Amino acid sequence: MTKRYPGGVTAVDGLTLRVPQGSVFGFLGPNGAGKTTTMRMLVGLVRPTSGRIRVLGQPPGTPNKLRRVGALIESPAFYPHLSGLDNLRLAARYAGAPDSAPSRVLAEVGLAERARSAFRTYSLGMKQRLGVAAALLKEPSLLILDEPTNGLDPAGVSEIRELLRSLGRRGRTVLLSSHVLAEVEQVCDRIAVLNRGRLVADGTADELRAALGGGQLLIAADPTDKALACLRDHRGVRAVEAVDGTLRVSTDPALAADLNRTLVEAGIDVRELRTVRHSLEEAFLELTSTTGSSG
Amino acid sequence: MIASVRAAWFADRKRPAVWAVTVTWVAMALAFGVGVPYLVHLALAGDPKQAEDAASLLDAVLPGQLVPTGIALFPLFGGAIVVILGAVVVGNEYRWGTLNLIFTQRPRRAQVLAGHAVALCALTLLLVVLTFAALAVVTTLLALVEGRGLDWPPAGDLAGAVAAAWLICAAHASLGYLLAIAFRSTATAIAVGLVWTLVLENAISGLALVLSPLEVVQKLLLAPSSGALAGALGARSQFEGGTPGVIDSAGAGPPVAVLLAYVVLMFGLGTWLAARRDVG
Ligand SMILES: Nc1ncnc2c1ncn2[C@@H]1O[C@H](COP(=O)(O)OP(=O)(O)OP(=O)(O)O)[C@@H](O)[C@H]1O
Ligand SMILES: [Mg+2]
Repeated sequence: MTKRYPGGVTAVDGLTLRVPQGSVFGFLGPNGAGKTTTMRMLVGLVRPTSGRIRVLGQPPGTPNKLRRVGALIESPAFYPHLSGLDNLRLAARYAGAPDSAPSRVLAEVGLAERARSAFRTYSLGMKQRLGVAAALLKEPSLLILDEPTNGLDPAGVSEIRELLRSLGRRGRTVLLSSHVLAEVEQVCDRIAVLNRGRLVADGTADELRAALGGGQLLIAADPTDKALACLRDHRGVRAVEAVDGTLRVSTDPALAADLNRTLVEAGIDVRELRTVRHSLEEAFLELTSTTGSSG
Repeated sequence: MIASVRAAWFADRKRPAVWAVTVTWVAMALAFGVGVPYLVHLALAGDPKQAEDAASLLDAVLPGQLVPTGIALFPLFGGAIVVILGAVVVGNEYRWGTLNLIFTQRPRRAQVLAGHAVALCALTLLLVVLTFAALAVVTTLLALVEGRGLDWPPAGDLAGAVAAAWLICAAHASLGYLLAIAFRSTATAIAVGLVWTLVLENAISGLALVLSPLEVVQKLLLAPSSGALAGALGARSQFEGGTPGVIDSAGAGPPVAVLLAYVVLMFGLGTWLAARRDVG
C-alpha cells in the first residue's frame, strides 16, 4: 500500500505487510517513518493512494469488522468536558458494546479511581490509559495500538506490557507501534521495521539480528596471529580483527562451536570465547540510518 | 442510526459551549425583544405627543404580540447565533480529534454525522421553545405590571411561529455544520459563517434594492429568506420600524421552500464530505 498526502509527502511507500493472526506484532520505525499513517489506513480513517488492504479478511473500515478491531491511534482523543467513564460510555454506544464494558476496561488499565473526573483534568499518562481502555472496549480480536506507552510511568509501561502479553496469550492479534525498541523486543513475536515509508526488515527479533550479521564472537587464543589467519578463511566469517590481543570475529554466533573446533584442531589454544549479540537497538539504528532499500 | 443519534445527543447536550450559546441567546432575545422596547416605551410614556408610539411599543411586549415579536428575533440575531451552534457542535469533533475515536468504533461515518445533524436539529428546537417560553413568561409579567389583560395568540399561530423559527434555526445550523466540516475547524467556520450571513448576504440584499436582477438571487439567500418568513408571519420589517433582518413578504411558501432546501442540502453535503475525506 502507498499513501501520498496532499502536499506531496509520501508517508507510506509500497509497503507490503502480513500480520499473522494471534501474534503480537511490533511496528518499529523512527519519527515520520509512516507507522501512524499505516495504522490510520488499517482502520479506514485514511484511504490509501494505491494498494489493497484487508483487515480480518475485509476492506478496512467495514462496520462489521470494525466491531472486532480496537484502536488507539496517535494521541488519545476524547471529549474534554466528559468524564473518562462518560467518554467510554459514548464510545461503547457507538460501538454497540455492552453497558458493562466501560467499567471493565477502566479497571483493566488502572483508571477506575479517576473514572468520574473530566478528561481534561487527566494527566498525560491517564489520558493514554483511557485511550488504551477505549481500544479494549469491544473485546477486539485485532488490537491496533500506536505508541500506547507514550507518557506512561514505568509502572504503567510494565502494566501495559503485561496486558499486551496476556492479550497475545488469549489469541488476540496485537499490532503495536513504537520507537522504543526494548518495548517491542520484549512483547512482540514478530517485528517489522519501517523507514521513510518502506519496509526495511521483517521477522522475529532473532531473525532481525541475524539479518544484520547476528553479532560478534570475542576470541582470545594463542598464538593470536595464527588464529587470525585460520579464522579469516573460515566459512561464515565476514571479518576478523585483532584488538588488544583479542580477536573480534563478525559472524553468526551460532558458529561459535564450529570455530572453536577448527582452532583447536589447528593446535591453537583457545583461552576464552564469548558471544556478543547485537542488541536490537544496534540493529534498528543500523537499519534506519540508511535511506533504506526495501527488505 | 438511533444509537448514533442518542450518542450525539449525549455528547452535545453536555457541551458547555452549547449551553453558553443557548443561554446567551435567550438573554439576548429577552433584551432585544422585550427589554429595549419596554424601556423605550417607559421613556416615551410621559410625553403626550408620543403617546401613540408608546402604546404600540407596549403592545409589542405583551402576550398578544408574542408571535410577531418572537419570530422577528430569528432572521438576523437568532440565525447568527445558531450558525455558531452548528459550527461548535461539529467543529469541536475535529478540534478534539474525537472523530478518530468515533469512526474507529462501529457505525458508518454517515451515520455518525447524521446523528449530529439530528441532535443539532433537536438542540435548535429546544432553543426556539426556550426562547418563546421565556418571552411568554416575561410578557405575562409585564402585562400584570401594566394591568393589561392576558389575551394570548391562538395556539395554532404560536405553533406556526415556533415551527418557522425552528426552520430558520435549522437552516442556519446546517450552514455552520457544513462550514465546520469543510474547514475541519470551529473558529474558521464561525468566522466564515458570520461574514456570510451578516455581511455578504446583507450586502447582496442591499444591492438588490437598486439592482433588480439581484432580487432573484436574494430570494435564494439564507438570511433574506428567513427574514421573508418572519415577515410573512406578521413581523414588521426593518423599514417600518421593525426588527433588523425582517423583510416584507407576500407569502410563507417560497421562503419555507428555500429554507428546507438549505437544511437538506447543507446537512447532506456536509455529511457526504465528512464521510469521504481522510480524517486526522
Ligand atoms: N495529515 C497529513 N498531511 C500531510 N502529511 C502528513 C500527514 N500525516 C502525516 N504526514 C506525513 O507523513 C509522514 C509519516 O508520518 P507518520 O505520522 O505516519 O509517522 P510515524 O511513523 O507515526 O512517526 P512518529 O514516530 O513521529 O509518530 C511524515 O513525513 C508526516 O509529516
Ligand atoms: Mg506516529
